[in-house]
Amino acid sequence: MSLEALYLSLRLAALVSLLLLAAGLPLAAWLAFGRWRGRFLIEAVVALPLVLPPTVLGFYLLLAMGPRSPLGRIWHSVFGHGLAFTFEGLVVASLLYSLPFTVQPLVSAFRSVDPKLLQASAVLGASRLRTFRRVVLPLSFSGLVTALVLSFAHTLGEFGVVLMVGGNLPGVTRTVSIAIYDSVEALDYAAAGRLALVLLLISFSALAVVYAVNRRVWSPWSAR
Amino acid sequence: MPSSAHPAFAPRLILCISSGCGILAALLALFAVPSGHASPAREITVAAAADLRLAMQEMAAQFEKQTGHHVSAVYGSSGNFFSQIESGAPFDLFFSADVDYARRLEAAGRAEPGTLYTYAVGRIVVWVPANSPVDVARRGWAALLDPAIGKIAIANPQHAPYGRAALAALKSAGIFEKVEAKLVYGENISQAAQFVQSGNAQAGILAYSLALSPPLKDAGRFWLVPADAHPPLEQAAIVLKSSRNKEAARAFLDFVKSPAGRAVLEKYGFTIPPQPPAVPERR
Amino acid sequence: MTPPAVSARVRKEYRSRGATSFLLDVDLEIPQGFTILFGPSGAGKSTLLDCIAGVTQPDAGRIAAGERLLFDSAARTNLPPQKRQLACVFQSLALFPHLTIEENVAYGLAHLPPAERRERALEILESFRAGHTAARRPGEISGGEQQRAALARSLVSEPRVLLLDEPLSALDEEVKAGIVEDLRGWNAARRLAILYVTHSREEAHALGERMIALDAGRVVAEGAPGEVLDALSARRAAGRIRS
Repeated sequence: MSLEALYLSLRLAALVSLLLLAAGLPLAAWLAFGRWRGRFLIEAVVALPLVLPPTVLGFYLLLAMGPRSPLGRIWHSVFGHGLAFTFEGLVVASLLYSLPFTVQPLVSAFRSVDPKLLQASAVLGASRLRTFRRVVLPLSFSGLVTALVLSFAHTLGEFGVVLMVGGNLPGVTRTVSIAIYDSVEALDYAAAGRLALVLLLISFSALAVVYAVNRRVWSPWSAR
Repeated sequence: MPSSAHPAFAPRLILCISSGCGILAALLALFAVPSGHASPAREITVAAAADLRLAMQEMAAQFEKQTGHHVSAVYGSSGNFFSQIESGAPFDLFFSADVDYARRLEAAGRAEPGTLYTYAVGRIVVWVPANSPVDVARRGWAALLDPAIGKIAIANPQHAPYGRAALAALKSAGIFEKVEAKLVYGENISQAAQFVQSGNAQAGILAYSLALSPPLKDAGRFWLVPADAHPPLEQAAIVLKSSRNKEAARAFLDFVKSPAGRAVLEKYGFTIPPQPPAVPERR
Repeated sequence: MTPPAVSARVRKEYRSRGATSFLLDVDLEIPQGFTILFGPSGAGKSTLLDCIAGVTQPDAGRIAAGERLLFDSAARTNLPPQKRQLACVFQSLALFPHLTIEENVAYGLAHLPPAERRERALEILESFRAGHTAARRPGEISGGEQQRAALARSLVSEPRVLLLDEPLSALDEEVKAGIVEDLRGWNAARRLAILYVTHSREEAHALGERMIALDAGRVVAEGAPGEVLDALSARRAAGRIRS
């Protein structure tokens, strides 16, 4: 049953990190290359989950998912059930919670691409989209890996938000961090220790990958 | 051109300065609070189960008025407090929602001998928000089977006493299998209450004491589950051996045992268990 | 009369390498063939080139390539670089480090089918004597080879105008002479308008048919290279030019 929680967390983290990458690419590209002067406001909003306690986010989400909020009502009328206590609810919560871990590495990777290369691409007739696809993305490889891995690891370790909106349902919303907490609360330190060790190893491996890629221990193309 | 001289900047500048002053003043106030070493009155710290919050506040206030000792209470899950006390948390008293935790600490030598006191027996209620179409007071358990009830919040039975009681009660009523899929689990009884109060769950099995206290009192209706539907929720307190204010801690426990303390507990929905006739402590 | 290949009237405030800011204020025409844009560093040469290429926006002015209007502050026209159909080699070359030389050269031929793209890329690399670098990445070849690759990349789409921003500055004389020779040969039949920025007298002499001297944002002399260089010497003698 602790494996069930681990599997659930892995599934949640994989789904969330992929969805975030898809949503984060255009957002990060706009933040890195856009011309609107007020972009810093959006950057601040994106970074909020970094500094807000998860309980604040969880509290707002619990209210937002409830029947008294427009979001909760819309979701209910479309899907016929509430968003809290469901796997989809956790996905929505995690998307918000891990957003900065995707967007920030992407933005800094995009910004570090030599602007001369972007100009060269444009002068060679490439549209902005083609420049992004053929030049910016491949040269931001380490940023992409960092974004993917960090959002994965962060979602995997998420606790406060899940606690607030999850309802602790085995196989649905009982993630590995909740399972660890439950074991500690139930004074089953052995079970807690086992799960905690697995989580520790996964998180360590993920971070090692991030640092290896950024140190260029390995890279798909040789140095410039 | 100095920008501060520009008229458009003036209001903003004043705002900045005044808010800056406010923050400074608040910080000063924070650090200037005397720590009160000079006063003979003691400060005791109580770790209390979440369902005790209002009763504890009222008892603490009365006790302070009587003795001058200050009671500061920390509320949380009893299992959590148990782990913290095992690790040497600096509390003076522990009011557990489950007598079991208190007994285990006593067995581990963490309690002052002879201080264990069963201060109350908890009751549970089936609670629905005020706007619920379900007439819970009339239908009792059957209310939970109503299709309008999508989710039922209870405390986590794995470690929360009220969760265990809710589960036992559902089983003894013979409807556990029918509602099992509807159950969602709060970390403790307060979180279970949050789930219902926020409308994400449509019903909850909550502590009677919570249902009687302000945030929930006017927000919904409830049905009191018969006391024999689950093993008694005995709640017990101990004075901790590590306490540095044992006299004051014992005095507070005596107050809780006194008619005044018992009246407060009863007011907030706790049943006082029959006590051994001699209330004075056994040293 | 055919219109000049490029006409540029540009006003723009720019910062030279120090913190001093200058006003670039020029009005010039670039015919077919080589035109040398000559001047000390900080004279505004690169800024002018960037304005023509479209990677920098002038404060005011009008830029046209033949009959095509590229920029006009009065008409609020400003074509983005990808629509200007100019070729440009930056001082830093800006070869894409993650693509092979062949992929770099074929980059501007996205509208062609892959086989033809490849064929034309290899063909132009050969004519700049860099065919052997096709499969390698920019980081793996010499500076001279990178230079040839960058030229090939900018010319493969057969532009009418080529802007070169000190592309040979980092090379030694021998390599430089070889590349200059190849570029002359390539252009002999095609007669592109090539605006070639340099501060080297040797390159100016070797390549130029026409020369424009820029200093502190202004055109200070214009004409055949010999005449312009003489005029500059005279100015310097009069102490009116920064060395």
